[in-house]
Amino acid sequence: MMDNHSVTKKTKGQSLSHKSIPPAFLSSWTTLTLSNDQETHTVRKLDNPHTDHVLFHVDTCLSTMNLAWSLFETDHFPLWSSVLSDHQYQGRGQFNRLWISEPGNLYVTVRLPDLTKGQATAPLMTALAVNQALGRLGIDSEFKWPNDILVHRKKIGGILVEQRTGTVMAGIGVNLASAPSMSAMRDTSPLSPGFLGEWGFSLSPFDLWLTILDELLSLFAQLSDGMEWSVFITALEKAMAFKDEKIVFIPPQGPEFSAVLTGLSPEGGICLQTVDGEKTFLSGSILPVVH
Amino acid sequence: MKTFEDICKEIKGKKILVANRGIAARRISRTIRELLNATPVMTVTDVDKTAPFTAGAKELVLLGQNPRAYLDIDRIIEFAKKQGIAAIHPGWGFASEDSSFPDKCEKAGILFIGPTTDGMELLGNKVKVRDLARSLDIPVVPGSIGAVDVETARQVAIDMGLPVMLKAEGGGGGRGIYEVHDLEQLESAFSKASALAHASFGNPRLFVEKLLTSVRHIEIQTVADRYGNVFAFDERDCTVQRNHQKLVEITPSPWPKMTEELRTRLKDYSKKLVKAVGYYSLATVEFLVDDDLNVYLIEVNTRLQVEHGITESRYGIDLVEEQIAIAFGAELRFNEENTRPIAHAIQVRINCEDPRHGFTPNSGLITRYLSPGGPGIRVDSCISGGHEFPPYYDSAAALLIAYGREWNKTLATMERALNEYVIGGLKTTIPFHLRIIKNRIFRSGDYNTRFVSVTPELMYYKDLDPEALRLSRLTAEISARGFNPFVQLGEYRGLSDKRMPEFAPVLPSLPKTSADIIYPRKDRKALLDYVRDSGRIHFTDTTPRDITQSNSGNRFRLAEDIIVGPYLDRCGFFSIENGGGAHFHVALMANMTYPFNEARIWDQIAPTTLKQILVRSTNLLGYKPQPKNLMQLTGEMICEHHDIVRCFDFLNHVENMAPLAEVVMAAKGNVFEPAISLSWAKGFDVPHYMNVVDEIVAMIARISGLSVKKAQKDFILGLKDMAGVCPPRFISSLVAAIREKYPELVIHYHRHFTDGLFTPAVGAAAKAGAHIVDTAIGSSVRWYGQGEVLSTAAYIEEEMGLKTALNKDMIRTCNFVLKQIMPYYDRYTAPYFQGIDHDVISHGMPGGATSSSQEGAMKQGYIRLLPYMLRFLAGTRQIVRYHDVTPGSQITWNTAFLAVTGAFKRGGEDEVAHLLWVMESVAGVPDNRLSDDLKKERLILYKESNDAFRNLLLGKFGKMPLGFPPDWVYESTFGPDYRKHMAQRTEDSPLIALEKIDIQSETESLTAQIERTPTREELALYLNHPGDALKTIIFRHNFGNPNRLPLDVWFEGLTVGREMNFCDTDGKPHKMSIIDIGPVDPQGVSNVRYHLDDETFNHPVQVAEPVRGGVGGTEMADKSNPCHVASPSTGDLWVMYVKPGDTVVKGEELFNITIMKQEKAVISPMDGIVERVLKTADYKHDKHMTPVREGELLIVLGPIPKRCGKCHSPIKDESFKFCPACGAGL
Repeated sequence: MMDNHSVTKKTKGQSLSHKSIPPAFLSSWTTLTLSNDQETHTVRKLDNPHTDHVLFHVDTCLSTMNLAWSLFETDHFPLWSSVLSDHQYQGRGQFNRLWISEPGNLYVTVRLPDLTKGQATAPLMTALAVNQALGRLGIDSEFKWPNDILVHRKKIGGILVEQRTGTVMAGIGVNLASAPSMSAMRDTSPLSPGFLGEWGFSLSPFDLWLTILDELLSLFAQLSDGMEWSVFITALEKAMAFKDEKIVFIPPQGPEFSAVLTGLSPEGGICLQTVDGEKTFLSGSILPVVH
Repeated sequence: MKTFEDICKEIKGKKILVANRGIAARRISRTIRELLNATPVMTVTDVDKTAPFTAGAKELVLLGQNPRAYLDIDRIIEFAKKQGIAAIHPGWGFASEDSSFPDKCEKAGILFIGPTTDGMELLGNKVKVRDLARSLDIPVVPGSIGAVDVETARQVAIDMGLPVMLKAEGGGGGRGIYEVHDLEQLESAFSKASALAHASFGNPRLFVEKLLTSVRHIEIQTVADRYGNVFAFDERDCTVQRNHQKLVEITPSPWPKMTEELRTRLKDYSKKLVKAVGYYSLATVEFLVDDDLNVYLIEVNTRLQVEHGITESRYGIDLVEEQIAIAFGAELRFNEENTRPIAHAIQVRINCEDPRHGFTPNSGLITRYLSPGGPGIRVDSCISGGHEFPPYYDSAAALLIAYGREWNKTLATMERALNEYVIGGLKTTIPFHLRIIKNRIFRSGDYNTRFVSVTPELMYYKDLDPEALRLSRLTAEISARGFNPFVQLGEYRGLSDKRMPEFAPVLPSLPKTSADIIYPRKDRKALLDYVRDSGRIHFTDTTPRDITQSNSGNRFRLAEDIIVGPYLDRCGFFSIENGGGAHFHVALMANMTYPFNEARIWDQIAPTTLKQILVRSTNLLGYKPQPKNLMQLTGEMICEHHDIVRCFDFLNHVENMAPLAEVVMAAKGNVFEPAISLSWAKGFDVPHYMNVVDEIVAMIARISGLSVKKAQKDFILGLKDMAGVCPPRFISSLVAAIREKYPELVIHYHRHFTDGLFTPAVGAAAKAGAHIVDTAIGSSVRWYGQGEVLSTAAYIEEEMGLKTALNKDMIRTCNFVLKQIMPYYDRYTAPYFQGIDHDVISHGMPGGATSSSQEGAMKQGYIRLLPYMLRFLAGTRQIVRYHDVTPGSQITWNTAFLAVTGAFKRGGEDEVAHLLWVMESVAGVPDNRLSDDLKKERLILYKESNDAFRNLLLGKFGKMPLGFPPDWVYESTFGPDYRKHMAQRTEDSPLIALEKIDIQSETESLTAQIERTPTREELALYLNHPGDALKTIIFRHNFGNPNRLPLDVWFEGLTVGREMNFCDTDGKPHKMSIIDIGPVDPQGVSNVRYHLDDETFNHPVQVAEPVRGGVGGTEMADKSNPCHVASPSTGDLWVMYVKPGDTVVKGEELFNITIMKQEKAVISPMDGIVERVLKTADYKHDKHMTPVREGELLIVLGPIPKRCGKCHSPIKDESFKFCPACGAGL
């Protein structure tokens, strides 16, 4: 459901401290108050010393995706704006699944340009950006098609791209300080949840986000400069989890089946080697095989 | 110290849980039940709950939905406690080598069947065991001392030299191994390997080992009890591997270099290791042994292994039983005295993988399952017929073991069992294992771990269902349609059309004695002398080839040849013409028969009579001129089963025949028959043809090195009147002239029936001295082939006063048989236009082409222009002079067709009439009698010609018999720059310039396309007609030999209820009957259900195109209608938020579509009520998405009729009197 927010108040703030916002960002900021029947948000618009793009922060919200749409609807969210939240009540994953969002992790939604160069642009570019950003920070990650970020084969992050009439929002969640408990394994989730802290990586959500944003900007710039799409596909394929391994594929229609994952297709679909030959799917999900 | 009997008493009735699935679970459960008399319990996830392997368990521990639940030790132990489990057996894989498992069990008060946590950690840790081995002076694979980081790994690799392996410390079973062949790869391989190791084994640490290249994998099974007793069994040889995964395991090792000393050494090392850490339970110590018998320890596996069964079979023991007893504290029963080997044993792993495509795994329904049995066989499987093999776990379906006292017997038993094993519905490794078992190198025992990767021919096998099953599918394909799509006659019939009677010809018995009249075979000289000296006229029967080529579209099958052949063989014919011409190609294209195989079968069913084939000079049997090396190959294959090789050239360019002449003349048992193509017209007179004869005789003389006098005795001269145009008086004078100049030359006359003067012409030829004539059996004679044998023989005997020697009774019998066959071919393959056409003498269209060409004109709508085309033919034959046999006849026809239709397109029938007037004014009229206007006009005649005609004029087919046509023909054909083209004319044989064909690379190409080694015949067919050969090879692979189907079923299929009896190629009888032919569904598929022998099958047949969505199937939104909400693009609808009757406000999200991982929300354009919802989805709950197309209508909205005055709720129905929300009156 879309939120029909209205902005009721704007105030300018002075320096203060906030537990999750780095001091560098707190030199000057404004607050907006958005409200509708359901909720009221006090949204901090931060002056981002690293980039010109608008950066919002809230302590909590239903989900950064919803908030981003609200900010967009009230004309506060130009291209490349992003909103971070320390916590989400109803963090949203794919297909309205709940993304458990305890404080300490990165929850952010960013508005991306809608380059309709093959519709797979946004989700894959975002995944590649996250993978490369983590790489820059010394973390080896894998990309589990279509939306998951893995480290040591544990799911530490996810991406959701939502589109409404030409406007594209990418939501990114990365577990830094904690992950949902093992009881999440009791349902059909095929991978254990993990968080970067368990391997000794200590990162703040803001630092991670700025690195990712940097990568995103760089990738999109290369794309609009005329870089071949296939270059991005190749880069993403290198980071692909389960490549050349036997997996179970769940197609959008029909029963799941065994296959070997061979790579990415030019449109960003997944290439599988099945008994009926090479097949490409544009949607579906992957499960690893259990030994 | 407890004994085994003590243990049995102790655990009787107790529950023992197997924390595993599939093969392991079932195997272990069996032992639990036997002597131990305990209660087997199995863990199962939801997908495994009703799997066939659960039959072995008395109780199940239900683990729920998550397929990974077999790895959740804590949860399993929790359930085990609740269900009163006394002991847990971990099987192999899953958590069996998780060293926390034993401790956790102990804490829970449950016995762990396996080693202690310490034991597992000390021996199971791949790094620690290497340390231990070193301390015990047991050699290990050279490598890093312990787990290393990437820098150290790099250094070790440099020091040791590449290649190296990166292995997981916590790994095993061949998993988690990365090979590194060059240094650049090392870093990325290291991080990938570490991640994989962490994910798979919970331990990311890696160590480095040298990758040894020529080694064997040999392991020792040990068993130890808690009291220090250890026993080591004979070695298991697991050298046959792929990607470090074992495929075949053997005990004892078949390696020729295996010695008792080596065996003892390996056992000693193993026992040492086990004793050194006080380990008890089962352990397998794995070694690599190189060519010099150096031994290297790889690792120790602290669990029951997949291949344990071969040790059990070798010794006649039960390792699982011992393992359980030991866990409960029994003393080890095995010792050197009471445990001796008694058999060889071999195991193959039957996995659901397709070896020919990279071992791709497959999952799905097992449609048939027949397991092998009999002496010397052990099967441990986890599947059955009707089981849905899941994709979530490994691909192991069964373990097949063969055992026996001697190695050869054991191998033979395994081969027999693999042949018996049927697993239908999935691709398995069964045929691959058969290839291994039969492989010479494998059987020698002398191979190393790279055997599979260096033996690609293991992949070359025909993965075929039994032929009867494949034939049944073919029958279903025909039956579902009512016509046979493969025979390429279009949709000649439908499901509800009247049927021919069931094909069941009455076959008179054949006499036991051999034929009376026998011609010498395999001896050219004897044959030709016999014919020359016989003083009578001989007959060649063309029923199986030219007759049925001309009159039955070449569709006469080998199946019917086999019926008629034995009778033909006894008729006393000089030869039976049974191959070549277009028959060769159509046999491939529409009858799916291999023509060379057909020839071989002919020699079996009709062994006495000579066989004859017709070939074209430059092309032989192929679709284009053949270079010398291909001609050699094809020529030799032809000579194997065809005694008489008749060769023709439509230009009578004798040089074109020379290469083939060389091949056939060299084969002393074969006879070469160069044939002169005959036309009758000005210039094509007796002196002209005598020149051709001279050239032929000279060519034969040159090739055989004989004088002209001797050469004429060494071949047969053919005279080929393919259109039936030369009148009796002409052929008479020609034959007489030939006999006079070459009295010893045997003449063979071939003529078509088309002009109606067959019999007098053949009689005249015989009277003038022709030795052999071509005729056919009466019931097959129609309009376009040869004439009938008995009437021709009667004419020759009675009117011409000559002698013949035919077995006329047998001819009559043969006729009777053929009479019962022909009606089927007449019904479905007869030409459209029929009848005698005496005008052929002017238009010259040869018999075979007459109907098809005219039919072509009709189908393109030009039937009214046909008379003009025929007149054009009559005229052009006088201008561009050659003979109307292949390909000349096609060229002539096309030229006429294009010229006349071109004129019609330019200016209608008037223009055509003008064209013909020009033609008839010009044809045959010398230049000096033509007006200048006419000379200009005539240039339109060949304007529309095609490339074949142009090539003919340039001499690219060969030298034209009467020289090049006049220059104006070139001007007409090529236009203003015709002189340039004329300068390129040649009179050389087109064969001279041909490049040799690269037969090796063509073989490779064919091998790659059919994924197996082609037979010699398949290669020859491919080189001649690549497209159709491939089609036939694939057809035969899918459907078997179609000649096994009865003739009526071949054309019509089966109806429901009728039973068809047939035999497969091995002669085994089968029966098939159709239960139901389903209606055509929206995908265009009709399902055919049928019985084949005692089983029921279902075969879907694509009888029509699927009904396309979008325009037609799905409702599209009206873009101008604001109430229509459409799907924004093509994708999958995963949630529909509204249902009919809901009210929505503008901006509210109605549904969401996922398109390539983006979610697209679609919002309501207006306030309103949802009137219609065309599609729905709720992925979160039912995991289903509904495909939608761009622009497809999904929601229809309606305006809100009115609102409640009080609470402003929308009032959905006009007729409401009270507000449904607040109750206020309206």
